[in-house]
Amino acid sequence: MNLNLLHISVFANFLAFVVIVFLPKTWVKRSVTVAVSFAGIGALASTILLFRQFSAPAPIEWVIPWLKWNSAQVNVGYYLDTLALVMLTSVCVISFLIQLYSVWYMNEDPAKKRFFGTITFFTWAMISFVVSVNLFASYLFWELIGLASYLLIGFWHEKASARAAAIKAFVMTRFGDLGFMAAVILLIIQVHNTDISFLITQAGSQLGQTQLLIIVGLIFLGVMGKSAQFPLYTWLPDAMEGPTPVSALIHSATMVAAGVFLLVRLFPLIELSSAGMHYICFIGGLSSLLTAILALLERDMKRILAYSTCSQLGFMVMAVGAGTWSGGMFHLLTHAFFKSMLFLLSGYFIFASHHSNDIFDMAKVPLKDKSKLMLALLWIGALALAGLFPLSGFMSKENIFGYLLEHHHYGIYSVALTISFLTAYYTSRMAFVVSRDGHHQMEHHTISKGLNIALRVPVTVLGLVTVAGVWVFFPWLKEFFQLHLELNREFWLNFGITTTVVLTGIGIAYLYFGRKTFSEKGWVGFVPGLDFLIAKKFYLDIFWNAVMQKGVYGLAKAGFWSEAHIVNAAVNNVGYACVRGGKAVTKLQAGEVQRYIVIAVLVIVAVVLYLTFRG
Amino acid sequence: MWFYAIETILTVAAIFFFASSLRRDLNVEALEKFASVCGAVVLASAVLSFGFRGIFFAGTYEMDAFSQFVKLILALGYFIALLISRNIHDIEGKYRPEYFLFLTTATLGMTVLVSAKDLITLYTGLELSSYSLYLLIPMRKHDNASIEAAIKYLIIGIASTGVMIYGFSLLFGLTQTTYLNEIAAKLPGLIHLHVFWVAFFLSVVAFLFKLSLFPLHAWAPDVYEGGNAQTVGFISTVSKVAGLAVFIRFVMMAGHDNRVLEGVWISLAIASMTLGNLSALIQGDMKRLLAYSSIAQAGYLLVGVLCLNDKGLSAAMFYAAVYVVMNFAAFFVVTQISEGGKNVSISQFRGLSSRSPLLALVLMLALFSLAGVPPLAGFTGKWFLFTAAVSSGFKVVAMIAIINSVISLYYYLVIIKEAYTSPDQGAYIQPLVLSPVSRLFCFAVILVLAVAGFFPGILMPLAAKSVSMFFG
Repeated sequence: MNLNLLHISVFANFLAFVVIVFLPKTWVKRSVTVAVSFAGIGALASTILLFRQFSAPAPIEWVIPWLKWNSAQVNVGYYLDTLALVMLTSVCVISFLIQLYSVWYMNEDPAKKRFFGTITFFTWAMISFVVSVNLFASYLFWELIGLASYLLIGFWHEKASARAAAIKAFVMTRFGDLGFMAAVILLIIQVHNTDISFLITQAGSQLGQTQLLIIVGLIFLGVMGKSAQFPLYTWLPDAMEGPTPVSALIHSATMVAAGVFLLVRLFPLIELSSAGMHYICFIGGLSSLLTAILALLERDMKRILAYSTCSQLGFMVMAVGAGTWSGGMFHLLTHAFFKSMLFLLSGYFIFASHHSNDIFDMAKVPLKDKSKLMLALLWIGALALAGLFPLSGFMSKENIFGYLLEHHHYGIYSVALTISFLTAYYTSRMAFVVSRDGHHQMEHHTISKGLNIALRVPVTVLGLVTVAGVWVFFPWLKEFFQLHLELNREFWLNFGITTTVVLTGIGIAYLYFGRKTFSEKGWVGFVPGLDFLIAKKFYLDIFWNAVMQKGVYGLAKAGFWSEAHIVNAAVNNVGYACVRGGKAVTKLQAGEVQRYIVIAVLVIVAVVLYLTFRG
Repeated sequence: MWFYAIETILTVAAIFFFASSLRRDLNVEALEKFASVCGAVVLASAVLSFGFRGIFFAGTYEMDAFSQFVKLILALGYFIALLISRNIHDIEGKYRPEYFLFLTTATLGMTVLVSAKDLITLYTGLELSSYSLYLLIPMRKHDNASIEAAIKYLIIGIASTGVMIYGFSLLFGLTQTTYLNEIAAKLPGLIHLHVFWVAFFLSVVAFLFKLSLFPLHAWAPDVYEGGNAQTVGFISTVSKVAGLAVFIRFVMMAGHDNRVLEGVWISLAIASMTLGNLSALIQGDMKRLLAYSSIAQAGYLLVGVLCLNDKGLSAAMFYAAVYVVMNFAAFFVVTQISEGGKNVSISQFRGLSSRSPLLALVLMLALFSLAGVPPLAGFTGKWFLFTAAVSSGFKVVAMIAIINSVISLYYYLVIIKEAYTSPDQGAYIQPLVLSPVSRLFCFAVILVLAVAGFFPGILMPLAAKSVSMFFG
C-alpha cells in the first residue's frame, strides 16, 4: 500500500507530462486541467504517505538492477526514509500549489501547454532525485533538473535576456555538476557501490581521509552550482527572467533545494571529513553574508527575493557545515513554504502595479487597489523570512542558533546574527515599501471568479502553513529533527538576543521606509563605499563574464589563431621547399593544403624521433 | 555465400547503380526509393550475419565478433545515408546513380577494411573506400569550393596513405609477412626494437586521417564545408567508425601490455579535443562547426582506445555506435534546412522551432547528446569513456576530456538557442514540411537516443562482447 502511494506520488507528474506531450496542439485548456489534477493527485498521495510512513521504523526500499558494468552495479528505485519522505511531500505539495497558481498567472499566455508540460517534467525530475536509491541515478535526475530549469528560465525565449539567463544558469550549474559527476565516478571506482544506504553507512570506512576530502569537495562543487553558493551564485538573480511561478518553484522546493538536500542526504559521509566541513561552513557563511548585502539596495522585488534565497541557502549550508544536518534541513523545509508564497505574492503585486517589478512603483499604487489578503500574507512571509516569533522561519532559525550556542561556535553565531539582522532589515524594507499608500491613479484590473480562486487558494494555504504548520506538527518535527528548543536558560537567552536583533532590523527599516517621508537607499547610503560595491555586485558578475565570455571566447580565438599563425608561420619557414614543390596546388587558396601536410609531417616526424630516441 | 552477405549485396548494388548511371531516361525518384530499400536490405543482412564467424581467402579475410559488430554500425550508417539522400538539391539528377554508386563502394571498402587480416587486403579496402569518398565531394553542382575541398581531401589522404605504405613496408621488412596474425606472433622479438614502433606508428597514420585526429585533422573543416551535407554526414560517421575499428585492430595487434605509444595517444587525444572544441566556438557555418566538433569527438573516442583494456574499448565502440546516430541526426537537420542545398549558417537556424517543432526537437536532442547531457545516449557513452579512463589510471586525460565536454556545451547551446528563438518581426516564416519518411526518421532518432541513453544495458553487452575477443 505504501509502495503504491509512493509510485503514485512519483509518477503522477511524469504521467501528466507524457499526456500533455501527446495532447493535440489545440487542447490548451485540457493540458492545464491534466497538469493540475495529476499534480493534485500526487500531492494527496504523498500527504497520505507522510502520515502513514512517518513513524515507520524501516525505510521503503524498492530496487531494480539497471546496469551492470564490470565490477560496478547500478540500481534504480526508491530509498525512502523519513528524510526523503518529508522532502517528497513538500515538493509534491508546493509544486501542486504553484501549478494551481499558474492557472491564473499563465492564463493569457499562448504557450501554456509547453509551460505545464515542462513544469510537470521539472517536478518529476526533482521528486525522482529525492527518492532515488542510488547516487548515480540521483546524478542523472540532478542533470535533468538542470535541463528542465534551462527550458523554464528561458521559457519566454523571445526575450534576449531570458535566453541569456537560461544559458548562464545551465552552463554555470553544469560547471558545478562536473564535480558531482567526478565524485560519482570516483566512488564507483573506490567503493564499487553508489547505493545511498551503502554510502551513508559503510562507504566512509573504506576511504582514506584524503580521498574523502576530494570526494566531499567534488560533491560540494555540485552543491555550489545548484544551490547558488559563492562564487557560482550569479546565475540565480538572473534566473528571474523566467515566469514568476517558475521562480517560485526553483527558489523553494526544487532546483536550489536539491543542493542542500544532497548535502543532508550524504551528511554521514561528508561529516567524516572535518576539513571538508570547515570549507562548507565557510563558503555557506560567505555566500549568505554577501548576498544579504546585495539585497539591501535592490529595487526589483523578484531580485530581492532571489538574493534572499541565496542568502538563506548559504545559511543552511553554513549550518550543515557547522555540524547540524537537521538544522539545515528543517530550515530548508520552512523556507520552501514561505519563500514560494513570497514569490507567488510578488507575481500578484507585479500584476497590480501594471507589470513593474520595482517596489517603488508598487508603492505608487493606492492602498485600495491592493488586496488586503495579499498584503497580510506579504507581511507574514516577510516576517517569517526575518525569523520573528511565532512564524515557521523563527523556529528553524532558532533551532540553528540554539545548536551553534550549545556547541560554542561563537564565531559562526555572530556571523549568523549579522545575517539575521540584514535579512530582517531588507525583507521589512520590501514589505514597508510595497504596502505604502500611493496616489498614482491607474485603471483597475479585475480578475474573474475562477481565476481568483486559483490566485488566492495557493497563497492562503502556504500562508497557513507558515503560521501554523510547525506548531501543528511540533511533536513529530521535534522528534525527527532533534530540535534544540528546550525551554531552559540558554533558550531564553538565545531567544532574547535573536528577537532583539530582528526587531532592530525591522525598526531601522521602519525609520527609513515606514514613515510618511522615506528615502530610497536607507542607511546604506551613509556607509562609504558600500553602495558602490553593491552596484558593482562585488565585481563577481564582471569576473564571471570575463571568464565565461572573454576567457572562453578568447581562448577559442587564441586556439584558432595559434593554429592559423603560430603553427602555420613556423611551418611556412620550415616547409618552404615543400610549398615550392607543390606549385600545381598553390593556385588553391592561400596554399593551405601544404601547410596542413607540413604540420602533419612535422608532428609525425616528432613522434618518430621520440620513438627512435626514447630511453 | 551467406557469410559475406553484406559484401555480396553491396557489390550487386554497386553494379546496379553503375548500370543505371548508363541509362539516359533515368527515373530519379524510383532510383531513390530503390536505394532506400537497398540500404534496408544491407542493414538486415548485417543483422542476420551478425553471428557468423569464419576465415576466408587463405586467411586474409576474417569474420569475427569485432568485425561483425562494426559492420552492423557501418550498415546502419549506410542505411541512414541512403534514407536521407532523397531530393538532394545540390547534386544533379543525372549524377545521382554515381552518387549512390560511390556511397556503396565506399561502404564496401570499409567492410573489407574491418575484416582484413592482411596488410594488402587492408590497403585495398582502405583505398576502395577513400577513392569513393574523394569522388563524392566534387559532385556538388556549381561549386568551386567543393572541387577545391575535394583536391585538399585527396592530397592529404594520399599523403597519409603514402606514410602508411612506408610503415607497412617496414613492418614487412621486419617480419617477412603481411598477415596480421603472423606479425602478432613475432611480436616478442620485435617490441624491443625502436624501428618496430616507428613502423607501427607510421602504419596507423592513415587511420588517424580517417578519424580526423590531430595532426591529420586539417582537411575536415574544408571538406565538410565543401561537400554536400549527406556525403559529409557519411564521412563524419561511417568512415570514422571504420577508421576507429581498424585502428583498434592494429593497436590490439601490438598487444595490450605494450604501452610504448601511450604518451603519443594521450597527446593526440588532448590536442584533438582541445583544438576541435576551441575552434568550433567561433564558427559561423554549421557544417564547419560540425567538422571541428567531430575532430573533438574523435579525441573522445581515442580516450577510450588508449586505455587498452576491455572497459575502454567497449566504451569506445558503444560511443561510436551512438555517435553515428546523433551526428547523422545533426547533418539530417542541416539537409532539411538548407535552401537548394546551399550551406547553412548558424543564424539560419533561427525560428526553427516555429517552422518545424519536430525538427527542432531532433536538433536539440542530437546536439545535447553530442554535448553529453543526460540522460541521452551521448551522455551515457561519454560516461563509459571517462569512467574507463579514470579507472585505468588516466585521471588527467579524463579531467581534460570532461572540461572539453563543458566547453562544447556552449557552442551547441548557441545553435539550440537560435533554433528556439522566434524569427525577427515581420520576417516571413516558411513552415518546413517533412516527408513521411523524414518524420519517421526523426521519431526513430529520438527513440534511439533516449533508449540507448536510458537503457545502455541493451547495447553495451554487444559492444563488450565484440571487443572481448582481443582479451580472450
